[in-house]
Amino acid sequence: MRPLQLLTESARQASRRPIGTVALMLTLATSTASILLLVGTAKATADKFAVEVEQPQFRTVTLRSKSPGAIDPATAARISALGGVSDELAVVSLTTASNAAFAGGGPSVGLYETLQRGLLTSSGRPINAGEVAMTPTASAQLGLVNGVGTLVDERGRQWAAVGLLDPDSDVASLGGGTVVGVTSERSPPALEYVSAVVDVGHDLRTTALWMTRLATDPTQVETDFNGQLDVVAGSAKSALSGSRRASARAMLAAAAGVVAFLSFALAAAQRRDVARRRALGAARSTIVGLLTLSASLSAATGVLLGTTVALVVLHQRASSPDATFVCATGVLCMLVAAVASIPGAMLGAVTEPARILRVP
Amino acid sequence: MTPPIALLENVDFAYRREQLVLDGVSLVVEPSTVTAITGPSGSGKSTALYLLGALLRPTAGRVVLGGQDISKASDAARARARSGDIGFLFQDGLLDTSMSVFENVLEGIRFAPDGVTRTARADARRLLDEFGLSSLASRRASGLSGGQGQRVALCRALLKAPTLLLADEPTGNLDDHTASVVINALLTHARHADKAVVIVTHDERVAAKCDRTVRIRALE
Repeated sequence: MRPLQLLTESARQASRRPIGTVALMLTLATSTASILLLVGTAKATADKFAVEVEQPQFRTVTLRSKSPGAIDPATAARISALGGVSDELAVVSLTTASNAAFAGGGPSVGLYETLQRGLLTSSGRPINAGEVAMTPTASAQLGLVNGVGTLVDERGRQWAAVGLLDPDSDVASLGGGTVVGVTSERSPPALEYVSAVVDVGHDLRTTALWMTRLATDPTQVETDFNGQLDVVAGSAKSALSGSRRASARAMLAAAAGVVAFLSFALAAAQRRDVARRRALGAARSTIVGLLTLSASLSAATGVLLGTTVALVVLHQRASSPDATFVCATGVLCMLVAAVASIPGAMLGAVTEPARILRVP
Repeated sequence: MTPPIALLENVDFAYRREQLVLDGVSLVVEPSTVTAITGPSGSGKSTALYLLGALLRPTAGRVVLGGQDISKASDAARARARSGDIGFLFQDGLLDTSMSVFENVLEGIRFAPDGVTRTARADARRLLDEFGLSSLASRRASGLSGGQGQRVALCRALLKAPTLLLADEPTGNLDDHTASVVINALLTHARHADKAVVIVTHDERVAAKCDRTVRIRALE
C-alpha cells in the first residue's frame, strides 16, 4: 500500500470508530495539556526564581582581611582581572579619621582610590575614586545635604562629599554603612576587604577560592558570600526540575496506559474489519501500520488540541513556555501514543481471519 | 496439459492441537472450471476454501497456487497472492458499512500492487452497472438489502478479475433471483481460460450447476 493511501485509509479507519477515536484524542489532549501546564508553570517559577537569585546582591564574594596587610591594592587589582568578576569594591579602613571627623562614630570604611569599575550610588551615578558618599547622619554632622564637591580636611588628607547614600542600597550592603573615598594616599593602604560581583554562570565558591589564593597572605583572609542562597537556589531549581520531570513521566505513563488499553479495545472491536482486509490482501504488517497510524492520527489531533488549550491558559497566566519545549512535549506525546498503540495493533493483525470469517 | 490453478495435496488441518478438521484432503482446481465443495456442517468445507485462499496454513501437506507452494510462504507473499490472484465472496457479503457502495467495490483492489487506478474505477462503475447497482453507487453500504449487499460483494470480488475466485456459501442468505444472478456471474467468470471458481455450498441446486462437486466427509 502506498504511503498516501495508507494515510487516507488510516484516517478512514479512525473515523469508523468515533467513540474510541474521540476517547483516544481526549486522552492525548488531556495529557499534553496537563504536561504543558504543570511543567510550563513549574518551569516558569524556576526561571523566575533563577533570575531573582542571579541579581548582583546575591552574587557578591567578599574577601575580608583578618589581620592588617593581608590584602593589598595589588590583590584588588588581580581580583578585578579574574574571569567573571564584573564589579569590584576595595575598601580601606579609616577608623582613625572617622573617629576624629565624626564624634560618636561616622565613616568607618573608605573606598580605595584605585577602584576600577563603576559602582553606582543609589541615584545611579558612578562613585569615582576619591569621592565620598555618606549616611544622612554623617552628612548632617558635616552640614551637607546632597552636597557635592565639598572638601573636608583631616590630618592632611582631603575628603569630598558626594551626597546621600541609601542605607538599603547595594553600596550600603557592601560597605556596611558609610563609604568614604580617599583622594590622596602617601603609601598604599592595607585593604579591609574587597567585594567582587561575580557574573551569572561563574561559580561563587570557585571565585572565592581564587580570591583567597590571590591575597597577600591567604592564611589571614576569609571569604564571605551567599553560598547558602546559591545552594538553596540550586536545590530549589533541581527540586522543581525533578518534580516536573516526575509529573511529565507520570502523565506520559498514564497516557501510554490508556492508549494501549484503547488500542487493544479498538483492535478487538475491529476484528471483522481486519479479517475482511486480510482476505482482500492486506499483509499483517499493513494491518499493524494501518491501526498504528490510525491511532497516531487521533493522537496527533489530541496533541494539537491539548497544546492549543495549554498555550491559551498559559498565555492568560502571562507565562509563555519556549517553542522547543512545546514542540518536544507534543512530539514526545505522539511518540508515546504511537508506541503504546503497537501491541494492540499487533494483536489485531495476528488474529487468524479464517476464525472470524467462518459462518457456522 | 494445462497446469492446475490451485491444488491441495494431502492436506491436514487442525485449528487446535489434536482436533483435526481435515485429514489427507487432496483437491485439484483446473482452469475454466467451477468446483463445488459440499458436505455436512463442521466437515471442513470452509477450511479447505481458506487453505486454497492462503488465509490458513496447512498442518501437513502442500497448498499450491499458480505452481507455487504457498504452505510455507511468508505472510507478505501470501498476502500478495490474495491481493492479486485470489478473490473472496462470503455468505454475508462482508461489506464495510461505513463506506459507500462504490468505495466497497474498490476495496477489492485496495491492497493490490497497483492500488486504486483510474482504470479500476472505470471497471468498478461498469460492474455496478452490469449488476444493476449504478443508482446505489454513492449510497452507504449500511442501507443495502441482503441481496444488494451480496451483489456489491460480487462486484468487489470480480473487480480484480481473480485467477481463483473462492465463494463461501455465496447464496446462503439470498432469494432465488439474486442467488441465480450471483451463481451465473460466478459461472461466467470461470469460463475464461485462466480462471477458476470454487464454491462451498449446502445447496444441491447450486452444486448441480457446477462442473464438478467434491464432497467432504466429517471426521469421526
